[in-house]
Amino acid sequence: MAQLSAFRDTSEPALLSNYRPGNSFCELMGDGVEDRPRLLEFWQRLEQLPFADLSVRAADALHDLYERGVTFTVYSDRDAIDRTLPFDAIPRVLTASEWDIIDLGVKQRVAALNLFLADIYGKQLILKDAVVPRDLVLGNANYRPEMQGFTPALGTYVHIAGIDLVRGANGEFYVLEDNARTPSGVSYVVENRHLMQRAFPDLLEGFNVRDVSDYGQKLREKLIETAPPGCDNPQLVLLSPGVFNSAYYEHIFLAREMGVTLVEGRDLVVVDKRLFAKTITGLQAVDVVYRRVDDDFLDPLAFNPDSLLGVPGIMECLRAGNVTIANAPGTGVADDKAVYAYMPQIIKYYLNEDPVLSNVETHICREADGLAYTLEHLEELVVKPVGESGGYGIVIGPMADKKQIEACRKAIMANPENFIAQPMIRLSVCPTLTDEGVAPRHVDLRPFAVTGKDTWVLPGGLTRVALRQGSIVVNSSQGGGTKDTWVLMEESPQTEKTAQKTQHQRQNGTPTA
Amino acid sequence: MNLLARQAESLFWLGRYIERTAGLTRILLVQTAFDRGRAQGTNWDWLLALYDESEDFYKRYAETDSESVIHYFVNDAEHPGSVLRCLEAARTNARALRAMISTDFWMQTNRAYRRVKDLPEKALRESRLANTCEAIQIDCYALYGISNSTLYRDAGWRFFDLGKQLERADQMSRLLDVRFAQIQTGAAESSAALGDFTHWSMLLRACGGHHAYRRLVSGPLQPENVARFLIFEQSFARSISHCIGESEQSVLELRTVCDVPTPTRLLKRLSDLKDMIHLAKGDPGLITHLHVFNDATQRHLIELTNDLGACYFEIDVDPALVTIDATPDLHEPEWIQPADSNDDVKSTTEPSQETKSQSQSQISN
Repeated sequence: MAQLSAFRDTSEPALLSNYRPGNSFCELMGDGVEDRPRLLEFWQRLEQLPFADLSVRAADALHDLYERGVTFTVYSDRDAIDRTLPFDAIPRVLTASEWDIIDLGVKQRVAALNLFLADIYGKQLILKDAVVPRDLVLGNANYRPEMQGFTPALGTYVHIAGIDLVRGANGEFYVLEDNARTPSGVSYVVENRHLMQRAFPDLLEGFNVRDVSDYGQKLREKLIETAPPGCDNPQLVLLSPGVFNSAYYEHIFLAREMGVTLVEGRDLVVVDKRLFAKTITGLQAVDVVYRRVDDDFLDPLAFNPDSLLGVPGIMECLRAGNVTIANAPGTGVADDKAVYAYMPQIIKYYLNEDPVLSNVETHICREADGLAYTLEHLEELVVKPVGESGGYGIVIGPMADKKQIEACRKAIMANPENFIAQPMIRLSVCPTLTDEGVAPRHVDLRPFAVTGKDTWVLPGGLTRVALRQGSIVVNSSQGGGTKDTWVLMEESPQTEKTAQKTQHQRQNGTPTA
Repeated sequence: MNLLARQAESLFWLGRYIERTAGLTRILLVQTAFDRGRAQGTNWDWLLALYDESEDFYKRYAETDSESVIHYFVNDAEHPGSVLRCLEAARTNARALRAMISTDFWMQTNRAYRRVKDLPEKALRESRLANTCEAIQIDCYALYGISNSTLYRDAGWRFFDLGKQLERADQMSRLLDVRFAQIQTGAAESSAALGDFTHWSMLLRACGGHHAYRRLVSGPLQPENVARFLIFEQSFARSISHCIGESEQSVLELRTVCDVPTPTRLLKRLSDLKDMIHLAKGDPGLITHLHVFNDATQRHLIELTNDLGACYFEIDVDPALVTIDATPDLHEPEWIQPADSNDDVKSTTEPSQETKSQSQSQISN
């Protein structure tokens, strides 16, 4: 492995000497560095690096991503413009014990989501018991009556979940949002790690960071588990909307990592309720479809009749039990922002457990109490429209001016059921490279969980960072970037020793393994 | 999972567009490097005849001066046959294939496209054109090198190669036709007769065959020898004969290596084309009716492309055909019978076999 590429010029201030996380919880410092020896070592490692060197290498790394085509694509009238998601070179580090909680909490959440979906498309017991309001579910635009009275293989609706977590000022993790439709971003998790390995081997060296590169194989394994019963040697494909989709790179990435064919709707055809791919030797049966096409566009015969991206008749194949679609159609009702508010009750109802990961307190404006509270406390709350994603339409009370607050009030009063409100969470921060040096920037975390017979959570997940100073909106459409996310292995005395040894060797200039 | 029909088609056209770019660029290079400094000036008209594009050209340009023709063929975004548009089409196909091709291949496709897209005006001046064309050519060679080193040798490779070979044969046949027609109709520069040395040297250079020819044939350039070399010489990678041989090889490998059935019509077409070339080779008067030969070659090549489309790219979704194969898990094929029911075999299977072959022949008709 490479050694520290350059040592700091002692006449320059240390990289982190001006770093002040303020009132926010810092992912690196935590409550105090003494309590977190593993991160202390990382902190010391970071302090050794000269800022200029780090910046230059970070810029090179970003260019490297561009050249490799790790991009999202923006289309103008004639041309396709490939852009990279900004990448921050300083990783976000999670300890083994922190990760254990997340892993457990995400698995619990996914289990509850699947049981909830099986119930609302089946016997609807939770609605009969009035734990969740009936019209909130059945009247939801993302509830698909086409899914009623049919259970997909293993009862798995949400094969792939991205659970958005934030960390409050007290260091506790909260679930901000469930993504149970077609969550994206996992390619960045793996690519960011590969980038770190190429560009910053000296930062990684000696830390026992859990591997993320087997995501594709795990995903494939779990999807194959959910193939229709009785199907041997199931054929799996990845259905993409095509090259014009901004996440097309991720579709390429996943198809390659899984070793499956990347298809578009026009490559598939339904004959007698069976799904086939059009190949050079004729039609070949397909058993499992990992689709990155939204419900609305999936089947013009069942949903949006104008869709050219989908496969006419694929819903019939699904209902006949001839194909598995991941994620199942109709999962959008479970990650709805209003249904989210009921997740603690949903977990309790099906699993008889308390949530491992707390919800952010949520006021539902469709309910009289929630509406009254929201209108009274608009200046302190974050108001979110229920149906939107990507950070659009959010009003952050403490940062809004009077005019914005009043506009928001009007909108809520006109359509209360369209809104929820939450207290503003002071998101945790992470040291981040900026033009002025290393500064604290707010981050969140999206771990990815894949579910077949059981659930596996990719150790780490996508850390998104709000690159603008003070901003708490991390969405890539709103100026967010990403970081590599490290999950450290068990902190045993042994690994501590190894780490010290490594450092010792480095200082003596002897090569390490 | 087998290669998708769409992927096969994209690979075929990817091969064609790269070869078209390489061929066109080479012709421009030769035109600009060797055909100047002549008393009567450079004749660019024949380039328009080569691709049958005079009509399109005069819609947007007044005359065939060098500046207009160069712009038209290099970076005119309105002209589907320009280098820019060919590389754009190659890139579009490559983008659709990104899950199959190497990252290096994709990066090089981008590089090649961006070079032409971002060409400064001055790079198109006659004085700079040779450099520009050489750079584009090297981009194309790099694409071939990378594809050769990184593409999987599955059915997809054969379709990519078929695209390349058929386009190459097509270009050669066009080039021969236009160059010979020029002379026969007296449209070539000045009194250029069949014996004009420069003319034949240019033709050889335009298809990268000058030195190869020289290794085989010494003495003055004989038009007939040049034509025969460009059509029949097996060891010359751009001769029509060689390209057709390579195409046939790829089609055969689809069956022998990749387990992909090769329909009779495809093999028949290739063998017809080879027969025709063989007969032409024995014809002492070939040079006098070269145009007829080229015309027939062009027709065969077009039909070959259509056949590939019909056999591999457009998948028939006739339910009658599909259901035979669609439920293999539910029923054993009729011809597999338990040993103890041998008696029933004849009475039950034979009629149904007949029906099957009948229905299949109806479909293929």
